Amino acid sequence: MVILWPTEDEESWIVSHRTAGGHAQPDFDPSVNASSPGRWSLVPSLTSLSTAKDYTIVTLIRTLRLPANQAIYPSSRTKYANLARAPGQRIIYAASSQRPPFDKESSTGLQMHDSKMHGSIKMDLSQSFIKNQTATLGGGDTETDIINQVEDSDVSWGGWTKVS
Amino acid sequence: MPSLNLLLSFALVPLLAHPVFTQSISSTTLAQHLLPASNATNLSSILGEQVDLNPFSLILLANETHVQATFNVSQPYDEVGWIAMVR
Repeated sequence: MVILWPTEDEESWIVSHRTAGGHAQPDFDPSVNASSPGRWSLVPSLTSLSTAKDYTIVTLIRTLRLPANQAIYPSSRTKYANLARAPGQRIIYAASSQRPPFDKESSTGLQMHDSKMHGSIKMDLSQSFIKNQTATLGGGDTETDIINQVEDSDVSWGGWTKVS
Repeated sequence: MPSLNLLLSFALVPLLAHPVFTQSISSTTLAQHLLPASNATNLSSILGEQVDLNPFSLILLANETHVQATFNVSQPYDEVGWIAMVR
């Protein structure tokens, strides 16, 4: 699993890869580092750091299928960690309002997730989307691009449409 | 009137109809980042879905080789504790 939390200095996020055998605090593997194959990597350009907004965004990227030489996940569980562009991609999630006590990947002392803030979902990664060239913006469409801090009103990109 | 808000949001943002999402980052911006990660040359190669898990939503987008996960939290940065995802 991967656990994320914003740093106290508001300059980055901690991305901590861990494993757990049950209902216990997940353990950090000290052999995992920034260059470990198969790890989730932070996407800084799609991650917010400021407290000036009333929302927060954090984005990670990873290969769909884990490389053969990955050592982040136990080999016996690798098949569960792979993702595919297909329906039924199972994700287990949890969150807490209490930040870990240390800004390092190996931090211990994580508080348990908040009440009701955990669960399992299935996501459909077979859903196709196409760029809608003819989309017209207006009428209150005010998507905001946090990267450029401007409204995303570029008509050449238009909107997106789900392919049914 | 929550139901009306939802309806309006869906009408304005066909892909990811979530009020918080529309206030924070555009779907186009999310997708454009993913394109260089493979040989994909257009947005039609990107697949994905969003789910709402109050207080955050999770957006997964995938191209041929990579998956991008975005957590969109309806709380300011300094109120976020930790978020975990098993994958």
